[in-house]
Amino acid sequence: MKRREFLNISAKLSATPLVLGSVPVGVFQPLDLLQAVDCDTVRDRILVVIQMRGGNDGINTIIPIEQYDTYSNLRPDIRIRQQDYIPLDSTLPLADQVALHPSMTGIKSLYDSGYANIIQGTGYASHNRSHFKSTDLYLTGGDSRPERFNLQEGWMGKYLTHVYEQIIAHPQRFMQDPVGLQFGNKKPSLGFHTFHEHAAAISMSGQDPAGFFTLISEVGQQAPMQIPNSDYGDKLNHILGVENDTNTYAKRISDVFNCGRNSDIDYPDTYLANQLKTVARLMHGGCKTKVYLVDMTGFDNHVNQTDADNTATGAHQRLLEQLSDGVKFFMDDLEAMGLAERAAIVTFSEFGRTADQNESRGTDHGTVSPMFVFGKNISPGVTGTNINLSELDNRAPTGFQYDYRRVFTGLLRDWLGVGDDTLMATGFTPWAATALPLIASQKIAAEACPLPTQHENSVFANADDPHTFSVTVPIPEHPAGVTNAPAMELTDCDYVVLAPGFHAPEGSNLRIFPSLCTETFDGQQLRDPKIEFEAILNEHDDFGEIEAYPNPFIDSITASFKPNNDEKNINVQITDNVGKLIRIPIVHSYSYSGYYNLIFDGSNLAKGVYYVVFFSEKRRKTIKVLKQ
Amino acid sequence: MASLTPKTSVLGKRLAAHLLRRTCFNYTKQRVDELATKTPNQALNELMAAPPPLQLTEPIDPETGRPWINTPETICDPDDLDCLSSGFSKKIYVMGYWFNELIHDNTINMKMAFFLHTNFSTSWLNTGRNENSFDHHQLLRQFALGNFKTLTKKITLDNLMLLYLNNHQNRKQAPNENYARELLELFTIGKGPQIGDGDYTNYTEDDVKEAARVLTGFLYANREAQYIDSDTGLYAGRSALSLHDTGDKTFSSAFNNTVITGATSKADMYRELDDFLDMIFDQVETARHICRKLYRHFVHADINDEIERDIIIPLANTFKNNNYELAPVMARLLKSQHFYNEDDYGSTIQVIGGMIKSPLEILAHTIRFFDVQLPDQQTDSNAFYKTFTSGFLRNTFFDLTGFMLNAPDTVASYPAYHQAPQWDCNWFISSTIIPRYKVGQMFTTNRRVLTGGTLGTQLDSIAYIQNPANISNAEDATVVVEEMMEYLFPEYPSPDRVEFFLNDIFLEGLSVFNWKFEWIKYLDTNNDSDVRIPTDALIVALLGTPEFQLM
Repeated sequence: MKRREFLNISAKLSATPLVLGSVPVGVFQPLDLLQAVDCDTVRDRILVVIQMRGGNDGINTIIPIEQYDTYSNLRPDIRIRQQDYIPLDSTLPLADQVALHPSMTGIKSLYDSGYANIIQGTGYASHNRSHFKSTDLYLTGGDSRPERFNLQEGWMGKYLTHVYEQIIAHPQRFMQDPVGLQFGNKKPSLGFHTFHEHAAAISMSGQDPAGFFTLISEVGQQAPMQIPNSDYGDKLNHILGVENDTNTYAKRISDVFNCGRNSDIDYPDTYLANQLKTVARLMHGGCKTKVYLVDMTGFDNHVNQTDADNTATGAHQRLLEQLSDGVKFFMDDLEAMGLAERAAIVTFSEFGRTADQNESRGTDHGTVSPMFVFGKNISPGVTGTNINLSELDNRAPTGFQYDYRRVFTGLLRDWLGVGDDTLMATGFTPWAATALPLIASQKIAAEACPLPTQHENSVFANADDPHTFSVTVPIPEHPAGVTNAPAMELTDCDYVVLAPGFHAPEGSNLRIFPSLCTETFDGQQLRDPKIEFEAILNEHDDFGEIEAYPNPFIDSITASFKPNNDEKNINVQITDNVGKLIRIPIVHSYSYSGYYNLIFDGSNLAKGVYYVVFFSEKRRKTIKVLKQ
Repeated sequence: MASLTPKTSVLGKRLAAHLLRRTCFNYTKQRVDELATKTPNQALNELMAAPPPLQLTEPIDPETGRPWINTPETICDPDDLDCLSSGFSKKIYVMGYWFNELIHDNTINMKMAFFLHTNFSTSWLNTGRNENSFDHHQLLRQFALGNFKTLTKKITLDNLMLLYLNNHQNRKQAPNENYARELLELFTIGKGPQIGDGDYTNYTEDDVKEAARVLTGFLYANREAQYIDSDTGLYAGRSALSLHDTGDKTFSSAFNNTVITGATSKADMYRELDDFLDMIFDQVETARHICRKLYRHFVHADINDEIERDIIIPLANTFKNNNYELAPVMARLLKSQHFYNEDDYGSTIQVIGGMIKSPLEILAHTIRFFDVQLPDQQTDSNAFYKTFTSGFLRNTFFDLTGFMLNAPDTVASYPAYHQAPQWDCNWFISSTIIPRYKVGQMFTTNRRVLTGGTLGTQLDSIAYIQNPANISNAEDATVVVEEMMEYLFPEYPSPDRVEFFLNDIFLEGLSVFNWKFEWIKYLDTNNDSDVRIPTDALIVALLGTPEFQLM
């Protein structure tokens, strides 16, 4: 266990100071320094999989410029007109040049920023044209060969279960979240299914994450003790397992959702954008789920794929716009929140469509289709060349250039740092040698990253109680003075809130709890602490020169204290009457004659009892105050 | 081995309840008690009798308080697809109407109609006029225990299906193979292993194209008298020879290279369609494919080699030998020792309790078992259609449980009926726990979870336990708890489980004498406030259990 998942207060400390919450807190030194693209970084990476259900018409999505006449003849009523489409990249060789559907301005912009890779002609041999079968194949990593035609487990589930088997349904400090989350589609995805005792993913489809825990906690009761050894018993166990897994994660999901927020970006109100917006907010709230499966549907455009009077509008256009805008806004949101480094996005659809149109201004089930990969750290470009629209079988393009598993395998290995053994367990070993290079070379996961272990770092030495850890806390230099708002920056999504009365001399035992908290300070958004300390030390009431006034107070309250000569730092926090940390702004601070004074703005506090807690490495004191 | 040998002994309560749960949305204690004294043969004779009359022949428009199906507001141009898929709110009314019919049939017919819907799936969501959905489900009901092959033909000519899978656009000049593909893949013979490029064992990609040619020129028709099918009395689609591909159609070796002679007249198009369906139904795989679906729907999700050999294959022979009549197959299956877990030792499938209820069953069993009175469609149409149907069914319970009645997400039907290997486990996932476990709370309080608002009806727990037909002795707390658990859970609960619901939930640690005292006091004073609280709590708790999820 590296401390990154924990006290991640890093070397950037001196660079751009921020304040955690509105109160000055003690500053911890980093316990070790980060390395470049190491496992810690890789462990923070996530993959968003966008499933485009129904079979996306790749040919109207990515239009082959050099074959425009052929294209145009095949699709007289639904072809995208040259004056409408968006030429993507004039630097590509002519034969590879493509134009985007006119609705895809967002993806064009991402491409221009170097954040998009379009993989042409993906599929598998003898592409199956059944929605259901081909969807199952994509989700299980299967194909049309008998030995891979009826795989029962999903590739995402197999990957996640292999890596996280120990902690699925058993949250750990370094991974408190479900490893997979599904949105949108209320049908639980085969992609996450395994025969493992616990599901790899939690479905949040149709649920409001904010209130999920409250509702879940109201249902369920004592479970039956005696489970018969029968199919009835098996099904009871299944239900109890789902209950248990959901209970395990419900609070956490609600917590991180309520903790997180989106940037000021105004997402469009679409099915996809709403899902991605939730993903971004969960990430911001500290969620470390590895694979998010989000959903789009409606691509089965047999009829009226475009409007009659304008091929640039219609059913397919609305879907592509939803995709393009959704991804663009999501990326912008992550960028604004400083999370863009962590995400890669991949799309797939169960098949492409026929090269020619049918007479209903639609297209029928086909074969290959393009896949998209998006992300700040990906290797951008257009992978492969245009499919040949002159070589058709049963109306659809014959050849596929890239097996879809070369895309997924590349992302698992180079993005998520999945090792050979996991690729084997996932069933992707045959594609490891030819996995596509989709990640920017300097960002490739350098090694197969195992799970952090509990004892990787001596600071977490207490193995008897997984919630109790020993930590060595060096005391930093005294900050320049509270008048300058003693500050620290937290560099990762993992960092700490110091609960009231925290006091941690060397070797202290600290209890660690999942925490709820999101703060802004001076208009700057802080990331969300994920771990909270509760001091378990006895209170040493030996502060002499210390007070809080006026008491009772109405608007503001001043905390005043005088450090001893050997005290390097004193912390002041406000809590409510049950000890919950309250964050209120400091409106003014000053010092004189060795006293430091912090004036808190309590005007928005509800009436009632609060505590002002002073603590240093040597001592602590709590003063009860009353808001009137 | 698993066995289709008939069980001949009397059912008893446990097996009668099992039979009723699996065959009827209308699950009541009285019905279980009636069937308990019968043999499977006697019970099935009752359950497979002709369906009782509909509760109501047509839906009511809450705006006018009158029926409206036969007086549509708009007649669409059949080529105006936007017009043909509009009229959203009344489609919800058809759904609510149909829900009410499903849960009040005390025979197997409506359950069979629902099964057929999961086979020939359509959706009202973005397809068809209000009336098309109504006609479609009436057709399924007519054929509930009828001839599956004939139904396949009727479905091919059904207006909702013609629109849903685009056969309306399937014309000689411009084939649209959508319906032809699903007819083969899902509705009849089913897809086998892929054994070559475009070769799915039971049919090939070329067969799909040839099938689409056979089906060219069968079109949607407005509800006009000339398009009433004389067999069914229902409005159906039409045919147009000018849009039909009259050439011969040649099928692959999967169909013995059958050549179907092209039609020469409009009437001959139906002959051609019959020839085509004969070709499909001559394949024993068609019978097996449908029998596997029946098995999964009524018996158990898993079909292993033993079940395939001992149940599916013989059952399929019965199906095919009876020219695809559904009744003999259902009778054989539901009377079998296998269905009652009474086949020889060694059978690997245990049927009873081994299936997760659909949201429809959770809801129907709750409403019918506790005799919840839904608002009257005629006298209280707003409450029925707007509050209950739209507010509760559509926007709350069905939406949250991932099940929209008569509007599955795909043509392959609801996930539980097509998505291997989870099958019925698809129903119970983290996002569906809340509505499923809160069904009792919603009904006892008349408050919808998550969406707010009321249900338009309420479960009266006191009325339920006070009726001696439900609870033999309501002043005895143990009897109240045990008699509910016996019927609500698929297997009789262990003593610790009874103890939990009796002492922790119902009595909350008080004595049984206290309950008796409270009950007598209630009978004396008619003030139910003290007895309703624990009784509601008991029902909420029992319906929020893993056991109630199963059947």
